[in-house]
Amino acid sequence: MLGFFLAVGSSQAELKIPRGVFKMDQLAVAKAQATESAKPLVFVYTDPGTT
Amino acid sequence: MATSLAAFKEFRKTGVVVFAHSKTDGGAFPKGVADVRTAGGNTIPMVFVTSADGSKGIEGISYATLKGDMRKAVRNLKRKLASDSRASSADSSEQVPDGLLADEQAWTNAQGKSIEAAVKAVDKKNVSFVMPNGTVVSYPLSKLSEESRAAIKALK
Repeated sequence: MLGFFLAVGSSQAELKIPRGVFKMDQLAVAKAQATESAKPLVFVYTDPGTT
Repeated sequence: MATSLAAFKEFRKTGVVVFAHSKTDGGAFPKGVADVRTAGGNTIPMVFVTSADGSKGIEGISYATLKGDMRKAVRNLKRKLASDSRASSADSSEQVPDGLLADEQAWTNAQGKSIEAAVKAVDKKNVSFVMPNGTVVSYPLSKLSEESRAAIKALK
């Protein structure tokens, strides 16, 4: 199990997601924040391993 | 990677940013992304902008545009959002927050440099800009571009 978490940590380290940027599994929270702040949702579609 | 990182940072000024992994998240987009998917092109990274609830597509921004001039892409998006907002609430006077004459938008000075700021007040000589961090800055109208000066005078 430790290997699993290490692997996740390794892949995410390739692209450090800045604080305040949501991930797709947090989409409901992002929608709520966007609605509350009257801002659009901006999806950055990318492969952290290559781009 | 640099383009993606820059996109995360630049577009946070305009919207609520969500990272979508091209290998795992392509099927999880809300409905509005389909409206603008084609405009995003075929090369990642690309950006999709939707309404706050994800139901309506607003803009698709391709890698070429992001790579070319990302700040310009952000400015264009802001203009489009402001325009859409005015169009959708033309009969409303509530689109500008209380205490402001104009919501945050781009203003250009006589040297061609731009800032993003809201307008709090205007007198004969100066305009009070509210910067994105909340700081209020007084700026001489005479130093603005003709276009920005005219737009600000029209706010009075």
